[in-house]
Amino acid sequence: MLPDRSPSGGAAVASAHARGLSRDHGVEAELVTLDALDEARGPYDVAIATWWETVPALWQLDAARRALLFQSFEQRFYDRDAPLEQVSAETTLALPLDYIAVSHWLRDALLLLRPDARCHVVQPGIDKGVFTWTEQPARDGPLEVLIEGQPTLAFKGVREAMAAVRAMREPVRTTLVALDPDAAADAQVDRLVGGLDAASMAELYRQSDVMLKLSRVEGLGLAPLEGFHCGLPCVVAPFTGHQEYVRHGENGIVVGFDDVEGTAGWLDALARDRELLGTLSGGARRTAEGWPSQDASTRLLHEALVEIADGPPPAVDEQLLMRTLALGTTLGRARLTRRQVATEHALTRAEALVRELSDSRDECAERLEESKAELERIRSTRAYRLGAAVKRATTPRGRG
Amino acid sequence: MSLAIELLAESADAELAGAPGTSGDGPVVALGDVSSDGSRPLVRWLDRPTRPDDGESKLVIAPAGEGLWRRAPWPAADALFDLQAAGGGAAPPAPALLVGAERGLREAVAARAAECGVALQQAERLDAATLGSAGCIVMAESPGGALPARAFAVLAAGRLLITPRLETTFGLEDGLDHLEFAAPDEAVDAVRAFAAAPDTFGRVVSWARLKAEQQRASVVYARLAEDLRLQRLVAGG
Repeated sequence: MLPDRSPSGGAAVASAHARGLSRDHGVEAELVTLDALDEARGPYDVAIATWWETVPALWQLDAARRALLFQSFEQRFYDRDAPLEQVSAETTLALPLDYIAVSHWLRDALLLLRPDARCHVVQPGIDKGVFTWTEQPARDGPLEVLIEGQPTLAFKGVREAMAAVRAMREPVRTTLVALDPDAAADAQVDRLVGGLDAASMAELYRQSDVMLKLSRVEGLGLAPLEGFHCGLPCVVAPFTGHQEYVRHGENGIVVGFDDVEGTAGWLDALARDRELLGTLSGGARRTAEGWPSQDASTRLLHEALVEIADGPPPAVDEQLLMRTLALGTTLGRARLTRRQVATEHALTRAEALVRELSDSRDECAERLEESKAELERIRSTRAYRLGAAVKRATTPRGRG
Repeated sequence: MSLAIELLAESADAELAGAPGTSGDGPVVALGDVSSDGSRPLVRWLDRPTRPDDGESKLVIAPAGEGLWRRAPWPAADALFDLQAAGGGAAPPAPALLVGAERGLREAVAARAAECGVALQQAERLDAATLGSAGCIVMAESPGGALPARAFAVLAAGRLLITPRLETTFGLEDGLDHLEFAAPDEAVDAVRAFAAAPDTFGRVVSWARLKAEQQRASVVYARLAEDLRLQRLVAGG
């Protein structure tokens, strides 16, 4: 179950699995979108959601089991001003679902919150025929930094990455690869690319010296892994998921969040020390060797689905659901109250301004009336009338 | 295990941000404004924004300021991760604690709490004992708009962290792993809500600990030592 057909990393993972399940495992796998629910054929052995908004639709399908391809804690995509989306996304963790997490940390974090959750781990595979390493001639020029992410999504940390590059002292050339490059037109980079297929992405990785990814939220973060397969090391913030494959000083560098100076310092160090860059590249390739292929990953998913289909139906976690709703209500109410207070404050201020303007207008009208009365009084004086008569008499009349 | 650095810190700060094995012969890292007895630490890790007279060390780390080598809050001592988290089922209700270097803000929060009848103990300084005895901690400071240096110790200890609105969060997310307030009223509301139902905040505390892992002292100091070596800032690099 996909929200729609628009491209995204999460949809790509689901689509690749669906193709592999059909091709290699004799599974009749269908991709259904929310706007085409009536096209779903069913009945299904397992119906799988991939985004919190698709979860309710699972109950509109004729399915024996329901599961979530768990790619992120999706409440983290929303900031404090979206408390309703936050709580809705979070409640999916308490529902009667089996979970298929794309990383071990997601499973571990879910079990912290819901110890009885049934959660399989199926790390997304990499297409090993496309993302390949080829020996590149040594480069001496500016450090080629590849920034991956959509700048319009603040949690992708693209602005921070660009700031770090700007703070560098060594020569550098930056490329930003974004899902929607049109929406990233103001990015301060040397080159902006987007809409690339897998082969073009692999080529881009091979042309670069280092990937810079300062995301704050990821379920796993596939781009650095694809880069590893092409021999591209990374400089990353310690986003959730990085711990599954980044080893500091071995295949990449882990910098702190919001640490522009430290990140720039590391990029400068890599620009100066190509030997270290080469060591990290070797480490990246070794990590890639141990990462599952797309086929191996889908095989694991198939095993998980068989287990889910054969197992008993999952239960709802009522306690977690209650706690989630209670916390969401507490935080949401505080935020809505805060906004209401701010709105009321703004309204009160606006009303005061209107009153002030109104008073000012009334005062102006009063003054105008007073001025008119004063003018009339002046006009009615003998001195004024005499002066006006003298002026009329001495002013030459125009012709025609 | 030796972490190949020597850490200089006052005892209260070492309890919050130190790590075992940091008393070796490696490069000296001085925490806060601790005296270095005339020696010149290679790294000075401040808990406040830098000042023009902070010229003693070659490499300065701080949550905010100019001329930094790194921008970061303090690490969280490993031992804090072993404390029983606040809001756990069997734990007795623990008091709320108010600390922070911004005296005006601290007094405003304390005054508002008193007006509302919300219990909020004040402490001049945070140490492991006061941290361990509290359930939630209001940190009335945000140096240069950043997360306070000692914040990760609170998260690691599994306590609910309440801070002013932050511009620089060092990876934390308001509402997920800590709570932010825009005015003293909001801080007091959060304390009251926690006191009424600490279990409700179990998810925040769980995420707090999870996020604190990035600042686990043994990891951070080992990485710092490795960075000094890889960036050739110490002999043998």
